[in-house]
Amino acid sequence: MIFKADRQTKEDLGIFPSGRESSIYDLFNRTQSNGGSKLLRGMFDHPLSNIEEINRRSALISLLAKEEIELKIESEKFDFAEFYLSNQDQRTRIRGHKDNLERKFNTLIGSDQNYIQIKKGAESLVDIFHFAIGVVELLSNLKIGEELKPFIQLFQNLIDKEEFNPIKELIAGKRLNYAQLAICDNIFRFNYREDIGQLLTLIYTLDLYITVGKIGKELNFNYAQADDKVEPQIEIDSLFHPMVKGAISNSVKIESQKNVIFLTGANMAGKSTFMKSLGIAIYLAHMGFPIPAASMNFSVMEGLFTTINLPDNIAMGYSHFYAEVMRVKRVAESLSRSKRIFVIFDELFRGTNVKDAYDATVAITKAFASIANSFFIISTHIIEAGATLDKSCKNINFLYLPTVMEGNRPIYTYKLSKGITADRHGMLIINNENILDILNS
Amino acid sequence: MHFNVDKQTLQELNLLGRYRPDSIFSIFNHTVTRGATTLLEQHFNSPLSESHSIEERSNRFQFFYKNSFTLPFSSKEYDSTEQYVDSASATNPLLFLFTNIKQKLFSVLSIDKEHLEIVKEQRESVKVIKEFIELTHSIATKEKSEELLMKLSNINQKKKRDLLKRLEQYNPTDNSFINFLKLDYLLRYKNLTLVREILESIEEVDLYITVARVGRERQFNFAKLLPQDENRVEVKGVYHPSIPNAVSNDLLFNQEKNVLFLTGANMAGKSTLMKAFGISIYLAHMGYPAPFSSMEFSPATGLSTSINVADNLDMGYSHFYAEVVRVKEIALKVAENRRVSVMFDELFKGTNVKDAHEATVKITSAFAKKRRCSFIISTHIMEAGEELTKSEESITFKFLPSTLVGSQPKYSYLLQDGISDDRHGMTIIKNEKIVEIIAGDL
Repeated sequence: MIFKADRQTKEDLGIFPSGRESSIYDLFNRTQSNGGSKLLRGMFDHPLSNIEEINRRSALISLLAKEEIELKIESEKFDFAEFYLSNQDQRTRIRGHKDNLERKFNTLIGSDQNYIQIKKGAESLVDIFHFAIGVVELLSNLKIGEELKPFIQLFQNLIDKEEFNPIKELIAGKRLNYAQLAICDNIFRFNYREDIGQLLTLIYTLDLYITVGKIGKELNFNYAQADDKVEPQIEIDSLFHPMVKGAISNSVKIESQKNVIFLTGANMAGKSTFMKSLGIAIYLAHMGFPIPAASMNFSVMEGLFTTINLPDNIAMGYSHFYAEVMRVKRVAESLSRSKRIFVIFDELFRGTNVKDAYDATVAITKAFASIANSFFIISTHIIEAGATLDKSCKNINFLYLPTVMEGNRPIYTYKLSKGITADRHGMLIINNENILDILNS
Repeated sequence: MHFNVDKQTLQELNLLGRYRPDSIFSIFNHTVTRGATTLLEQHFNSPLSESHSIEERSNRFQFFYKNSFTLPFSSKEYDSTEQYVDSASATNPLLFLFTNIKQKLFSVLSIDKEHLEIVKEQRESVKVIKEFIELTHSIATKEKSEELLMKLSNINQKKKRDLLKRLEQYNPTDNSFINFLKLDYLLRYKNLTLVREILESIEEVDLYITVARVGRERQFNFAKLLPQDENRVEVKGVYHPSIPNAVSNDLLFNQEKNVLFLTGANMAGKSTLMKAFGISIYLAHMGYPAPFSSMEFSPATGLSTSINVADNLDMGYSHFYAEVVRVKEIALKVAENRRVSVMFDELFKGTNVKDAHEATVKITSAFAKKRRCSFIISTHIMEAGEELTKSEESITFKFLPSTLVGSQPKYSYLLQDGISDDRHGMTIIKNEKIVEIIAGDL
């Protein structure tokens, strides 16, 4: 089972970089090693949907952050090592009995580029191996919780292998002679290549977790706790948008009895920003990463669908309204296939006239409200639809983002309030622009 | 004064765009010469607003519309001619002789083949020039052609006749170098200015012939000018040129009825009708043939449309605010007491029902008082229309009908009097069975 989030969702939330905008991935992409960065991409591509995996990863990251463990990774060495390991050509294998005069002469005049590459790679790997021994020692000496133990054990088991004894006997940072190189090369590239690969991955993972933990701390993120309650719920305290400077935080709770949030508010009141920050928190929580909130408890979902900036597809002859209808249809089909999905719709049906939008919003929201195990957030500027839904549906939570008028100027608080907004500033904006005066003068 | 059209209007009506196959520009862009395309671009970029200049240009197109001519050479032949004339470089007879002899010598020694190219270009140039001069003679035999020919770049007729006479003296089968030299001297040295003028008028005539031919082929017609202060536009049988088998409609705007309040379902053809009208107005102000059966108009000073307002989220605009900004832009133009033709599609859909209603009524009433301008305003809020019927006299109410056949809506695209409350948003949702899918009934 995987956590589903389609391209539209990732684009809406700005998970991956597109154009000049900085993304959530960029926030975390500061690992020291290239391998760590690749792992990070993989984690962003495939969020988890298994409660144990999520909690294990978030526990590890938070623990490493709490202990303020620092690793100094020489990423150049890892690059050499990776390049060296990728060469699996048997003909380039260093053999002890080939240590003849011809080879020595070639090396002396520096004509054997291959040999130099191999030597450099093997020496880097020897250093890395000794670095790993040091890391394991450092981690084992910490008096820390159970969560880290299996991870350290993996490390320990690899290093403790008898076959690696010749490597352990070498001294890090020292040049290898031909005989030593032949032994190392055998171990690294041919006999125990997979173990070495695993060791590198463990170091990358550690680098990644430490980096993520550190960034989480810098950004004031905290860790979400996945739970397995029978009735799904999501409770977030002090949620904020990580890209908005001085963002105002909001707390929100969604549960089966109130599985739809109907969000209203004037234009610019912050509806989209709130929805995006919620989407980001849910996405990161399912990766076991720190989230932009003070705390979060959540039931693991099977997918996240957002529709915040839906592009028109006029080239295909779709009107904006039709594109929206097709998007709703897609979400509806997913709902009928899986159990728990989180759905976010910003300005549902804005591509059509206000009256059709009203009818459609009421019909679709009602239908969503009946799917108790999935959660929905729907925003609209058609406040009349809210009033109708209030009468007919019990499990809708009506929230709004208020606007306070200071003279003629609207001020936005960005703090969620209960109810449906009565703010109508359409005429006010028109009056502020003096359009009628221009025409009547 | 120029006819005022902003970028958004040009985009919404898809007027320009040399490389966009569906633009209105592309409909006419079938010229033989590249120079004519440049002229066409100039016409498209600056439509006219003065009666006399519109009339003057329109008359020329109409002459070629009635009298069918074709350019007697191909685009390739003209390119050679253009290249031949453009590569003239000699400033004195000695240099002229030296350059030619050098090229001939190089060619004989097989060092450089330039000379052979030039010989070929020269042969084609002679053909092009001769045939064009003959074409102007046959144009001159038609009625009302004098003024037109006079306008053709003021070419010195006597010199032109002399040139033609001289060209006819040369034997086209004579491939001697002396013959080449004589011709070259005649065309690229002695009469270079005249030859260049002839090329210019070729391009001009090419544009007239092409536009007139496109107009004839597509059965476009020319608009008739009315005095400016009459403020009247009447168009019969207007349709959208990019839509195959488009249905045509009649529209009338004058001082008494200057607003058309348009209702109808999604897809009933509201935007298309506005675009068709906008395109015709634009082409009429260029003096070009346009897609209608007849039109009478008082020249306006500008055209503004608001058909697909895009959000400008980068600038922090919401959709509603973008609409308001657009309305303000247009209001400023209208308020300057100019004669503007304005089209608004689905005004204020970015806000709630009540605000949209109120704003539509107020803005439409304010526009209705600007009798020198004409407006088409479409909306789904029929209540706004009902309110306006009571208060404003200068509004015409029309709608584009749609009927449901089973669950499929059918459209006639023919304007009818009145206000319609047809909406098919929910029908589309029902056809896609979305509520049933969510409920798991399917």
